[in-house]
Amino acid sequence: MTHHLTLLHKLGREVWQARAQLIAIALVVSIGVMVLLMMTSAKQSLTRAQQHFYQDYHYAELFVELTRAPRSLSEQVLELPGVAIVESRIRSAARVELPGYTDPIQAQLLSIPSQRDPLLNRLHFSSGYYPQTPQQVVISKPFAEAHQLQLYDSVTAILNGRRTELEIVGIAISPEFIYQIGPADIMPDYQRYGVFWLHEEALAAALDMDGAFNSISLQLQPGTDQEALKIRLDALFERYGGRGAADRDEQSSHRFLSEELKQLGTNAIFLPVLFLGASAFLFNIFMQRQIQTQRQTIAILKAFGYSQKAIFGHYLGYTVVVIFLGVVFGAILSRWLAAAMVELYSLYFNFVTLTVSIQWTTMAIALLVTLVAGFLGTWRAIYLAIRVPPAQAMRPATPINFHQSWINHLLASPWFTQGARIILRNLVRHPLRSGLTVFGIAISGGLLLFGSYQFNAITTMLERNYRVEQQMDVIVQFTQITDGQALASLAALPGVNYVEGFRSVPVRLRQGPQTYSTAVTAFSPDSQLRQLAGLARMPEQGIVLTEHLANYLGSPAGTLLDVEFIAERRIRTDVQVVATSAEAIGVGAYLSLATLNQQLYQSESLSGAWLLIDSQAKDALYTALNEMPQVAGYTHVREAEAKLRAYMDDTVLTAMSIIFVLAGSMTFAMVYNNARIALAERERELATLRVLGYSHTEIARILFGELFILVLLALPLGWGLGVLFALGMSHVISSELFRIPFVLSQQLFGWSALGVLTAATIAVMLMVRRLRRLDLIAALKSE
Amino acid sequence: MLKAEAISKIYPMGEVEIHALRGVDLELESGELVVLLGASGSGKSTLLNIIGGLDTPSSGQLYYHDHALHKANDQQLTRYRRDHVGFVFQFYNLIPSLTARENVAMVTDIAANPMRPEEALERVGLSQRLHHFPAQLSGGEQQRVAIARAIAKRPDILLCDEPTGALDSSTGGIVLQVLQDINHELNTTTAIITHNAVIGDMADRIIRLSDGQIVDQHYNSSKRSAQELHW
Repeated sequence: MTHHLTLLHKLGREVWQARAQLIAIALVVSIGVMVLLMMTSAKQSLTRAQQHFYQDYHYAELFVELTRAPRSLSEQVLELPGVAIVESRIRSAARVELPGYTDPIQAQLLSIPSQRDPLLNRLHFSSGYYPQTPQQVVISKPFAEAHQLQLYDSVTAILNGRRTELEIVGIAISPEFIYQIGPADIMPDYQRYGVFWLHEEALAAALDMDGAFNSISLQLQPGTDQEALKIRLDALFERYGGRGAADRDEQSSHRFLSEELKQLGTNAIFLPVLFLGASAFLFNIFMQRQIQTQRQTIAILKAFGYSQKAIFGHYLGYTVVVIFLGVVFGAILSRWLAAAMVELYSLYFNFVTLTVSIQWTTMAIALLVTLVAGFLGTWRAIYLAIRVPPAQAMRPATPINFHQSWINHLLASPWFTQGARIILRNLVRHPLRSGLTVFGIAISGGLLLFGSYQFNAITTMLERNYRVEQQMDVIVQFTQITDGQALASLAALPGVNYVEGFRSVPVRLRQGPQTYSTAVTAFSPDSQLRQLAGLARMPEQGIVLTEHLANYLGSPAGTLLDVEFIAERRIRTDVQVVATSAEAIGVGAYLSLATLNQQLYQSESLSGAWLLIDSQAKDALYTALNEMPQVAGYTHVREAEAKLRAYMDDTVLTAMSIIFVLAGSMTFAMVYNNARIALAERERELATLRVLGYSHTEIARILFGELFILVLLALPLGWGLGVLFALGMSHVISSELFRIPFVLSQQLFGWSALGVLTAATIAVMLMVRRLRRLDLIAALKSE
Repeated sequence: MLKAEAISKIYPMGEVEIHALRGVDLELESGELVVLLGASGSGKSTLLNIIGGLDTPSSGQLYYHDHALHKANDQQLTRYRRDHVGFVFQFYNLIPSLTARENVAMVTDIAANPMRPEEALERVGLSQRLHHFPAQLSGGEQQRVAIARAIAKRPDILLCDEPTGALDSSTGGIVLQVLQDINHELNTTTAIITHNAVIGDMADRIIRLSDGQIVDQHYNSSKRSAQELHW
C-alpha cells in the first residue's frame, strides 16, 4: 500500500506543478457540469412544480367550451365511460376598471360553485378564501401584484354592460393559469389582463345563465381513451354550441409551459456535450504531453515492478483530480445559477412552490458523464505509454522524426524564412493535434458567432414584426360584431390619422389527427397596416397559415384544411391553404375579409380596427376610447413590443450572454493549453535560438506564430460552425411564441473573430511572461 | 580580447547557496585554442556560460574588448551572442524541424557577415548532407552540423561544452579535428570544456578548474593534432 502512497505524493506534486493548465481544463469541465446541472435541475424543478400543482389542485384533463347548456347535462357527462369528475362553470370576458389606471384591462371571469369548493381547477390562495356572495371576487395573484391590490380592496367589472363593484376576498393562482396570458396575447401582461373568480350567482345573473353553464372541465379515470371520449363529448355538446373537447395541449398555459420544458431539455443536452467534448480534447493534449515527458519515469516504475494497472491508475489520477475540481466548482456555480434561473421563470410562470434543488441522481449523472469524457480523452495516451517495454522507454527519446516529404520540399523553397519553416513543419508534423486545436477554437468561435447571432436575430425579428408586418399603432377590439359604421366613429376620435377594420374569429383547424385552436384574422388585401411576412399581398381567396402552424398541422400550401369557424354560428368547411407566411412571432391564420364574410354567409362584419395615431394625442384618444361602449379593449402595439423585448432580454439573451462568456473562456483555455504545451515541447529549441542570438521577440514570433496560424485557420471554420449552430437554433427554438429567424450579418463574423482573437491574445500575453523566464542553461543541459 | 577578473557566481538553491565560481581570473587571447579541464561540479560550465553571455557573474568583472559584460542587460547579451559568440553543446541542440542547411541558415539569417550555409557545412565535411533532417543524421554528423552552425557567422569566440561527451572515441576525434581546423583556418578563439584530460593535448593552453577556482594553467609545448588523440 505504501508504494501507492508514494505514487499519490508524486501525483499531488505534479498536479500542483501543472496547476495553471489543469485549472484551465477544470474550468471548461465546470462549465459543462454547470450547464448540465443548471438546465437539468431547472427542468426538474419546473416539472415537479407543474406536476404537484396539477395533481394537488386537480387540473382538469379535458375541457369543453360551449354556448349554453342546462346544468343537468353535466350529470350525463359524468355517466360517459372514463369520466371521473365533472365540473361545470360559467366563463366570460369583461372589462375591468381600477381607480387611477387609464389603460384598458381585460379580465377572464370564471364562476365558483355557490355551495361548495370547486372539484377541479382549484385555487391556491396566497390570502383570503372562495367568494361567498355575488359581490365578492378572487383575483389572480400576478394581477393583484401588478396593481398592488389587497384583500378587501374593490374593483369594478363591466358585466354585460353593467358596472359592478366587487370586493376582493381572495388572491390566488390556478393550475389553469400558470402562464397567465390574454386570449390573443403571446406575452403575459399582468397589468392589462387578469383572471377573476366570481360567485356562480353573480355570473349567472349578469350573463343570464341561471341553471346553465358554458364551460365544463373533466377529470378522467386512469387508462381512459381520450380520443373516443372526445368524440362522445363533441356529439353530446353539438346542439349546445360546443366548440369541441380540448385536452391540456390546447390550453395556452399548459402548452407554453410544456414547450419551455422541452427547450430546457434540448439545451441540457446540447451545451454540456459541447463543453465536455472540449474538455476531453484538452485532457488528451495535456496527457500526451505529460506522458511524453515521463517516458523514463514510467519505464523506471515498470522496472521496479509496478503493475500496468497501478501506473494506469496513477496517470488517470490527473483526470480524476481535474474532474473532481470541475464538478465541485460547476456544482457550486450551478446551485447559484439554477436558483437565478428558477427565479426568472417564476416571473413568467406562477407556481405554488418553485424550489430548486440539485438532486443527487443528477449530480451522479453529471459526475459520470464528466468522468466518461475525461476517460475518453486520456485513456489512449496513457495506454500507449504504459505498453512500451521498460528498456525501450529508458532510452532517450529519438529526435522527432522529420523526413523528406512533398510538403517539406515545398517548404524548402527559399521563399520561406527558417522561422516560418519551423512553424509550418511543426504544424504538419502533428496533424491530429493541430486539427483538433483548430476544431476546438473553431467551436468557441462558432459559439461566439452564435451568441451574437441571437442578439441580432431577435432585433431583426422585432423589427420585422413591428415595423413591417404590423404597422398600426393601436389595435381596438369591439364588444360586438359591427359594420363599417364603427370605423367612421373611430376616425373621428382625437389623434386618429387612419383607420382600417378587421375581423377576428375563433377557429379550430384540423388536418388528419392534428387539431389547433386559434383565431383567424381577416382583413382587406389592400391593407396599409398589416402585411404577411413573405407575401406581397393577402390573397383574395383561400386561407394563409403561419409557416409554423402549417408545419404543425402538416398542411402546406395547396392542401385543403378543415376549418371550423366558431362565430355566431359554427360553420365547418374545407378551405384551401393558398400560402404560408414566415411570421416570426405568434401563430395565426389569415383570410381576406371578403372570403370570411362569404364563408360565414354575412355582409361586411368587423370585430376590431387598426389605427394610426398621433402619439401626442394618445391620452386624449385613450380617454375617448374608454368612453365608447362598443370598444371592448385596445392595445398599443409599441407597448406590446416593449414587453416582448423585455421577455427576450430576460430569457434568451441572458442565456446567450452566459454562452458568450463561456465560449470566450473556452477559447482562452484552448489557446493557453496549446501554448503551454508548445512551450514545454519547444523549450530546448527556443533556448537554443536564444543562445544563438535570437531575441525574446524573435523566438516569441516562432512560438506564437504556430498558434496564430491555428487561430487563423479556426476563424473561418468557427464562422461555418456558428452558422450551423444558428441554423440549428432557428430550427430547434421554434415555438408558438416566436421563431428566431435565420439572419446573418457581417458584424456577427466580426464579433466572433474579435472574441477569439481577444481570448487568444490574453492567453499569449500570459505565456510571454513564461517565455521571458526561460532558463537557457537548464533547457540546454537537459537531455 | 576577453578578460575576466575575480569572477564569482553564487546560485541560491533553496536554503543553501552554491558557490559555482570563486574569484576566477582569465584572459583569452585572439586565435588561441584553450581547453578547460575539470570534474563535474568544478565550475567549468558556469565559467563558459558567463563568458558566452548566457549568464552574468555574481561579482567580478568581465570585458569583451571594451564591453563590460558583467553590467550588460539581457538585450545587450543577446546582441553579444548574436554578433560574436558561437556555441557547440554536448547534445547538439539542433532544431528537429529544420534540415542541416536550414539549421545553419538559422544563424546566417541574423548574422552581420556570415558565410553561406553550404560553405559552413562543407568545412565540417557535410556538403552531401545539406537536406537531411537531424533525425536522419548520426550523432557525429549532428555535432558537425552544430559546429557548422556555430562557425557560420564567423564568430570571434567559439565555445564548446563537452562537444564529444555524447560521442564515441573515433567520432569524437573527427569532431575535434573539425574544431582544430577551424581554429587554424579562421583564427577563431576557441574554448573547449571537457572532463577528458586527453583532449588537452590539442590545446594551446590548458586550464584546470576545481571547486570553482583555477588550480592550474599552462601552455602546451607539444601540441598534437586531434586525430592523434585516443581515449
